[in-house]
Amino acid sequence: MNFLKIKLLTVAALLCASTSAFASYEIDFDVNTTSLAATGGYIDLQYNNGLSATLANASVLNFSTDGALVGSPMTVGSVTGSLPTTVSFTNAGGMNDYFHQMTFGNNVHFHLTVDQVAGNSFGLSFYGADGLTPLLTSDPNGYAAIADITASGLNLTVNSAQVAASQTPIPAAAWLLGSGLMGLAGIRRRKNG
Amino acid sequence: MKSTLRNLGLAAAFSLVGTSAFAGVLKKPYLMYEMPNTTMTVLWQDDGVETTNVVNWYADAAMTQLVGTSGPVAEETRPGTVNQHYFKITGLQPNTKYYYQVSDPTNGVYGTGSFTTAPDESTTHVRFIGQGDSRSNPALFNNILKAISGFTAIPGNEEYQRLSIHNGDWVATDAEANWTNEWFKNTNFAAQAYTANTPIDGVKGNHDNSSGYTTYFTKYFPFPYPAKTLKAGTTSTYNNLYWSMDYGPVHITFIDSYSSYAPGSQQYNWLVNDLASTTKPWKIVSWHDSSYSAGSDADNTSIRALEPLLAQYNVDLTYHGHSHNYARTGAYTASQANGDQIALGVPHYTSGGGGAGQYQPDMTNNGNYPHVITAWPANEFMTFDVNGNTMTMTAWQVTGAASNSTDYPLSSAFPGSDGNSGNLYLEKIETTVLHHFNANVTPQVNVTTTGFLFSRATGLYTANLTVKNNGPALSGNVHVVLDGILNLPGLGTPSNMYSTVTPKLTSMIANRPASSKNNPDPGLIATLTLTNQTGSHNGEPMIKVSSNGIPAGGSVTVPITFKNPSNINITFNPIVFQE
Repeated sequence: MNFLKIKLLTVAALLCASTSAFASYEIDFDVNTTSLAATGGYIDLQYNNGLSATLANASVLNFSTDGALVGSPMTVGSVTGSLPTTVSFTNAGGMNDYFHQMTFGNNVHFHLTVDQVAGNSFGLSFYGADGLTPLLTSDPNGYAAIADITASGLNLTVNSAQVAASQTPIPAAAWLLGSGLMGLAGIRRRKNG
Repeated sequence: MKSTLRNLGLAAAFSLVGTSAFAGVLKKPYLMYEMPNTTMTVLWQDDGVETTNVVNWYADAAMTQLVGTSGPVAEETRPGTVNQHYFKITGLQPNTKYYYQVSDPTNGVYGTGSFTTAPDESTTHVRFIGQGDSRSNPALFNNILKAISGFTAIPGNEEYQRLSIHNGDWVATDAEANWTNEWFKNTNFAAQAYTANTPIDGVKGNHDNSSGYTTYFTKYFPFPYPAKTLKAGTTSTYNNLYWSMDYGPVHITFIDSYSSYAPGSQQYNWLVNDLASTTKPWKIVSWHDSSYSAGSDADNTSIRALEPLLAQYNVDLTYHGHSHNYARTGAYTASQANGDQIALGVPHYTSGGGGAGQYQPDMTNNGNYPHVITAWPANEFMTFDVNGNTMTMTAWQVTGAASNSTDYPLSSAFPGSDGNSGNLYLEKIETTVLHHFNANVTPQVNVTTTGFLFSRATGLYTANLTVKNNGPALSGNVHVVLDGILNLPGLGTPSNMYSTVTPKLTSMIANRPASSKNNPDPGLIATLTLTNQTGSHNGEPMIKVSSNGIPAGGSVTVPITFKNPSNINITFNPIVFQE
């Protein structure tokens, strides 16, 4: 029952994380950082617009790692929050960037929810201790993974064998679970009654 | 450029100028071009032996292969100092270099020079020089022409020597003495060499004008004005000094901005017909006092009434002087125009740094000089390079030309000794490129980008730009112009030796480029550089997205990368052209 509660609370958090008027894409990121274990570096999260002038949002949720975040993040633009709790972005600035020092462990996980507004992109990068040398990527621009939101849908580009990024049908599942939650609440009330 | 100019300029400048001192000649032979391309006009002024003056022209520099001779050339009936001579050589081959000599049996050789006849009518490639406001400082004028001669002597630049266009204010006052002591100053050897070897065509300025009329400008440069009008009670004083010329693929129209050009006027009607009837692909309109400049001489706000004609007849650019500096003005959008009468997308060039004292430009776009994009105080000239569907204009600062320069002090012997100009060289102010594309296909395509993500590894912002073709198939090259962004790579880094403000000017980019006073439009973005651009168009960056078209319903995607040191929101209006 406790496990079910946690899941339901998670779903509720996901549903409440974005107050945007837009539908969202949901993406899970799993990064194998074993090759970097015990070394220092940075995680870089960025959410910027293209020619789109529509205000849009993205949030990073459920961050976890067996490594360690170090100190406070450096942010540029429209970014709020701090890992491991939710970090929220809007595309309002020319650059909306979250840059956090960490000691890498074996893995990094987080969930991204991003508005379905075409012309915006979310990027995930890892950098070495100098903050400039890209890690875990074959992309010369340093991106381990990019989520481009286009008019035809979500384009996920993964430039690393250590990164798995998968779109999750959270919204539909969440509604299903939400209805289940309501059912459970009804059962509980009937029992209590 | 520096050492090259030093090494080559002087030798070339004087190699073809006459060597026979001043015996018998008051104004050494000089050139103008009146059309057609089988002609060239030689003018000079002797000291009184008129009837035996002869022009001979040759096929070789040694002048052993005589092509033709004028026979005795009579004195022209002109005001002021007499003995002015004019001879239009005819029967030449287009696009051919000739060498000429003016002489008489008594005084010997008055002068020699060379010219290349205008190109074939069908040619698609020409180069020429632009200059203006040469008045008042003959030593400085001499230095600038020396610099231009040095430029044209550089291997590969020879073609620019074929023609120069002058945008007015040739001398300080339209008087005989001014022409004698400024334009034709007899110790200005570099100027004499230049004018003996480069035909100069142009238009009058306010200093060549007296109450709407001109006497001596037409004496010394009797261009083929189609409707010059004699002032009542005079014999040699005219107005309506407008005219036009063809030079290869270029049609150049010179407007007399000191005669009426109001709608319905003789000049206005001529202008309409001139622009409507030319079949040349490239159209330049020149008058002295620009409708939009960076000051400090006032804009000609009345002549803004002609701006709709520039747009209607697809004029490519306008060329002016009056303000003694370099400036590029214009508006790309109605928002930038903000109600001002200005032909959208037509660059207005001021190139008034030809010798007159420099003016410091007003680059605020918040006063009397709206729509300034770039400006720079300098002694300067411009080069025009037409190559098929592309025209490239470059403004060149003549660095070290000013005798009062402290940054680049001239030799104490300069300019008395023309052999010493070690501190005279050229620096690029700005290069702009215009293209004639087959079609603007923006309405039939949809251009999108992904988000611009910054890379700490490269220091650049990157996105993918996609052009989806919603219309018929596009063929050939497809370009996207990033309208709204100033093409920073077009700007040079000239020294600011001519800046007299404190602190000295360090940027030639105007505030809110192309915008105007009380206009909320922010103007062009001037902090972004498209680092993978494939070219530029009208001062904005451009990228080729396909060299083999885009099929109907198809799309192409290319990466675009920016330097964005201010981390501003990257935005532009994509304009798509099929070449």
